[in-house]
Amino acid sequence: MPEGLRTRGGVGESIPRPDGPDKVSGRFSFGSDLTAPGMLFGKTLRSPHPHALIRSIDVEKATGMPGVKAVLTAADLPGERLYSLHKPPDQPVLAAAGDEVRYAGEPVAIVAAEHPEQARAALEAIAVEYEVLAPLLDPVDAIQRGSVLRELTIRSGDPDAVADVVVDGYYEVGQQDQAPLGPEAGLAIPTPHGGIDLWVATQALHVDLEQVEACLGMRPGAVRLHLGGVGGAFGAREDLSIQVHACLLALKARRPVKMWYGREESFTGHVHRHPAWMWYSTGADRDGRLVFVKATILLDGGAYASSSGAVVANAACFGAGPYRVPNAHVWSGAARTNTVPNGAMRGFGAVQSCFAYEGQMDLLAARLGLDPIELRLKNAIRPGDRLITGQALTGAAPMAKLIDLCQGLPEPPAPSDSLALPGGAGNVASAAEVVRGTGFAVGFKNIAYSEGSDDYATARVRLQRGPDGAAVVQVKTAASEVGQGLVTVCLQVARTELGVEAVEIERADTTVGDAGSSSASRQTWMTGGAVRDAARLVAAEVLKRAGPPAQALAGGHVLDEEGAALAPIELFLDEPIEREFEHHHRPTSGLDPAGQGDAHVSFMFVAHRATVDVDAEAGLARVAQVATAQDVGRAINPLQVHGQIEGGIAQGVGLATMEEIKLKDGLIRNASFTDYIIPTSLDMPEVAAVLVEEPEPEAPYGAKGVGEPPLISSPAAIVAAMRAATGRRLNRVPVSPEELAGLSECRPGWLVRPGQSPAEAVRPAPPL
Amino acid sequence: MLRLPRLRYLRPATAGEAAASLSKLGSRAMFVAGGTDLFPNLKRRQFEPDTLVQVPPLKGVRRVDGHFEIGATVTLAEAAADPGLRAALPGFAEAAGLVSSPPLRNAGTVGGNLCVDTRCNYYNMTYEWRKSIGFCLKKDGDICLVAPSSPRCWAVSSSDTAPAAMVLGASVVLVGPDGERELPVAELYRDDGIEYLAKQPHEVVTAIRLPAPEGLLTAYVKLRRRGSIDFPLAGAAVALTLDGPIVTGCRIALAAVASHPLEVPEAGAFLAGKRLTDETISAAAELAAKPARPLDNADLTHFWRKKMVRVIVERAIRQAATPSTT
Amino acid sequence: MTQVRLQVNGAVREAEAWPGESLLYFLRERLGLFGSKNACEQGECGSCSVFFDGELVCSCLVLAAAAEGAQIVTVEGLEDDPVAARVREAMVAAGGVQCGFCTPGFVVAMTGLLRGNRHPSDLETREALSGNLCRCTGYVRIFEAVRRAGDALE
Repeated sequence: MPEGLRTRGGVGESIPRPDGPDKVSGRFSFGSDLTAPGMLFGKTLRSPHPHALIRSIDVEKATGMPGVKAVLTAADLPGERLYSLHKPPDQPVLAAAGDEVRYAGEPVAIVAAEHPEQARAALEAIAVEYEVLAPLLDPVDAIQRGSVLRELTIRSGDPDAVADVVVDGYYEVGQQDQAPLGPEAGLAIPTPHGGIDLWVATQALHVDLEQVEACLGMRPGAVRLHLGGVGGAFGAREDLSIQVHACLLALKARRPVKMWYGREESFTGHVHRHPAWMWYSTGADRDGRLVFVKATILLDGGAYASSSGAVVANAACFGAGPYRVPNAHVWSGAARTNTVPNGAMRGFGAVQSCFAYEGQMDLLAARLGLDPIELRLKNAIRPGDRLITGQALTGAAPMAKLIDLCQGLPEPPAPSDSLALPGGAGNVASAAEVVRGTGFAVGFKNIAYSEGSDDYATARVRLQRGPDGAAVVQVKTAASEVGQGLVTVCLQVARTELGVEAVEIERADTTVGDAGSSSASRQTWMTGGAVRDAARLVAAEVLKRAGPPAQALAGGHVLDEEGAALAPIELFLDEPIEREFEHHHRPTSGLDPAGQGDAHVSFMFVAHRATVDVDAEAGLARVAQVATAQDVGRAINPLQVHGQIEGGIAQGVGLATMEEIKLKDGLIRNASFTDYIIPTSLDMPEVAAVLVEEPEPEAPYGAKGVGEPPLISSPAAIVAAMRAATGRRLNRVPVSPEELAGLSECRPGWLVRPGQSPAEAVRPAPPL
Repeated sequence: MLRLPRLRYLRPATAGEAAASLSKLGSRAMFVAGGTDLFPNLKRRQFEPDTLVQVPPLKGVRRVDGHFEIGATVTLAEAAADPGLRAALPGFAEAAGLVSSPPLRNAGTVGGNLCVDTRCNYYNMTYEWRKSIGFCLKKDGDICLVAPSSPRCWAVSSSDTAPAAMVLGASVVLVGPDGERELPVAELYRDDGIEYLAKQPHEVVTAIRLPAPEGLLTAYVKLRRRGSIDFPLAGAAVALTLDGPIVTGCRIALAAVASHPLEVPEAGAFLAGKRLTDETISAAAELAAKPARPLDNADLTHFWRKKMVRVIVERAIRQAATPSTT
Repeated sequence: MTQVRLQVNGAVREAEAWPGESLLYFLRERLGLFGSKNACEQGECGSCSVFFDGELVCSCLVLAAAAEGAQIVTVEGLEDDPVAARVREAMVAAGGVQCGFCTPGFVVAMTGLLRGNRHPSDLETREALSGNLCRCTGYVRIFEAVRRAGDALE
């Protein structure tokens, strides 16, 4: 094909983001940047107690205060009083007098005023009388009282299988916050006809819409959602935050209402990663072949269901690791407690169990005297193998190749500067105090929705002449660009399919069909697939209009089968061409009572090797490098894939070394960026990444998702490196300096037989 | 969202006028210099003044008669980068350069860091949070939530520069409505989480004087989890003079282990006249760690923070003694 | 309300404000300059970075009234700045932008860094940017953008 007829910037190229220039100049508008004439500021009054009965709510004083235009409580709700990602919904829009609040931070009343300070003063003037009740905070306690959001057992193979070597371990994962830099934010504007437009930073416009419509009690069509610029998400924007509240206030005040959470409020205003308590028993034969995995994976779901159900399933389905495991018995469950609800965060469920099963593999390697990498290679799952759920791996599953490639990546040099040592600029360590350790871990997870969900995404593609007469493509979806680069993917797909480089990605809203959520690493496959298929329908129409011998589109031209240009595409655009397509992935099935079923459409695999410098006396660590090989199917945009890998690893470094929400009596103790700390530029390791491109047969372009794997096994690898450097057990993330220095150890608060429900758990005997 | 309350803002031309303003307004007013510590506190309603009085520009790092005189509003970034200070008093320059992050060091001042409010993770929380758990002694309440049986507040001194100044025998210049006085830094603090400063509220710090005798060796080690931003979990400042291998003088002070920067004279005195060896350094560090009383009101456990005092003092002594390795 | 009059991006800008509003609030809500972002509002993230008389500061920790008499430059005011122009190009080309919320603050901080030092070492870059948090990129491509912008400025 002549160079002039190549379409530049299509699938497979590292083109820059189309929204990049607006983002670097400050012009890009985020949810919190929205503004409208006559706009009011909305604020939320929240429960100070983790568990209490609301005796009464008195808003009279607040209502008359200066600048205050609306004060609402549950008594004013026009529609459904409960919402949730879960069906049936269980979470109150506002907690009602006579009902209970079930976590500290639960919304009780909302206010809109002319200035944020007036809104704040009005909240202060609302009198809520609480009868404080005892909170249920221990998840084992909760399970034993039947306070359970979901439990699931997977049994496969022989329950009585006997292994030559058995290792038992207990592991904990702390509660991680997604900490997107952009706060929850949105702007609701009433329409003249009684409807409402809501601009909001969200991961899923239609998922929000369904809940907002129900809670406003409005007819379909009266509520329209538009994507406000999203400042990162990572799971934090899957559940509703300001959506219903801002609309209620705007409808009441008949004025635009903007709401955004400050950082402190954000910590109670969105769900977090489930903290986990895990009891494992892993058996192998003398050669190191796995015989069985038995596991109990207990998650704290918090006060409401959110996506705990899917997290429980993921933790269980992937709980034996990407290995051939002939016999498995896994119990996984989420307790309902009086803490802030937990839900989606990048890699959900898979991150927690990976930390445990990879810890077990290292224990096993040590017991058998085998190299940990060799042990993983020996057991690595391969195409055609069955998971512990009975599902056969039908797609690409290059686990062994990932391990090989990852271990071969170059290792980092020794730190050359005191800034690069543990403690960094604080001058704590000198090279003499530092020991380097290396650790390895692998992981895997599903892509897209599972367990029988009808997972689909919609795209509308329009091809027409632009103002200058040349062909222009417009792509419209309701899919959320949250930073991951979906707009770039859609643009590249449209270019590839239509041979036209001028592609506009329109702002997402609910005037087009559902695209599902930007989560579960699914949008490249689902919305990417929908754009591909809609564009192919458009292309077919162009070819039909062009007539034989037209065969293909590229470089702005219609080509014949030899690849020779017949005519510019715009010649056939007297009438614009618009097509819409709903892309569904292959149906999956639910899990049966033994946890068996083809529940997932596809899987992503990953390997990580971490190099960590440890000051074992002070208990400080600095991750020098994370090397990784990741199964990406095909990289639609290698630059963006590397960006996802590096960003996911940064969050893995955070989980391994510092990030944890701390609760005391059900209250968050560290709801700020002063006290909930995330890695700075000085804490970020070097990243060496290699992409493994084995196309996934069923995925559009063979591309798998890429967002979650970087966070699945990077924490496990980092902790393995710390263990290698210190010889300590380190069975909890984030690893505390105290544990790293050998001054304390994490011990189970309950004794559980791996595989059994914690309903049978007993307290350990007190130490003598 | 975190908002500042309604505030009147005064910009007097001189330190004397600033002191006079505060003297007149009393507890309704507060000084502000760089604001990097005060504004977050005001946003969380840790203080509720109705007026802020700007400390006027008091700039310059000057070397006079064997000591440095640093204007109180010299920024932490300016102090950390000052070539003379870095060469003569690297411990102090390092301490200034380790406060928070680059943009905060560009705004935060040396005087402000010396007077930085004590911290406690029951106190440095939003108004709503504090209300939900029950207010504490330091603001709006009547018990200490860290040590409920205690009659006093245990909020932690979190200045990095204060111990580094203390080991130099530094002093501050204070201007009040009635004139100027000089106060040793060692006497600037009180052992109380609430009334942690011994100066009068209407006295403004205008300068800090740091003695810099020839041959003085200094170091500051700051313990924190990240490479930037964090307040000290503990800090150790050392000033040392040597005659060959023999210690002729040594002062050691600690950050973030008490409600005031804590000098540990026993440790310094122990080393005086001794040869610096692994054993003497270790013994001095043990002595230094003894009076440190970290409580469960900062990041990580007080148990670990207490254990780490010995470790960082040891390392600070070594670094002071062998500056080439830092 | 009081009248606040500031030098912002080379022009005099005046608006009514409550006494006690932060510079960040004033820039955003009073002047409509939304390029400076509000991620923590207490100086822990750098999303609101601006130049105050040429120095990089967090505008959430400056009183609007205290900025009277100073030259304030926000990300919007760097449009014609030659260093910032290279920084913006490099951030886009190197992949240093994802969600973009921290990006304007980084552009200001990177411009400040490169004004004083065209070729900072990796650790100098990390140190200079250590008051600006990014949650998406892991910083790797931001460091790369500093290198590229520095090279382009030669």
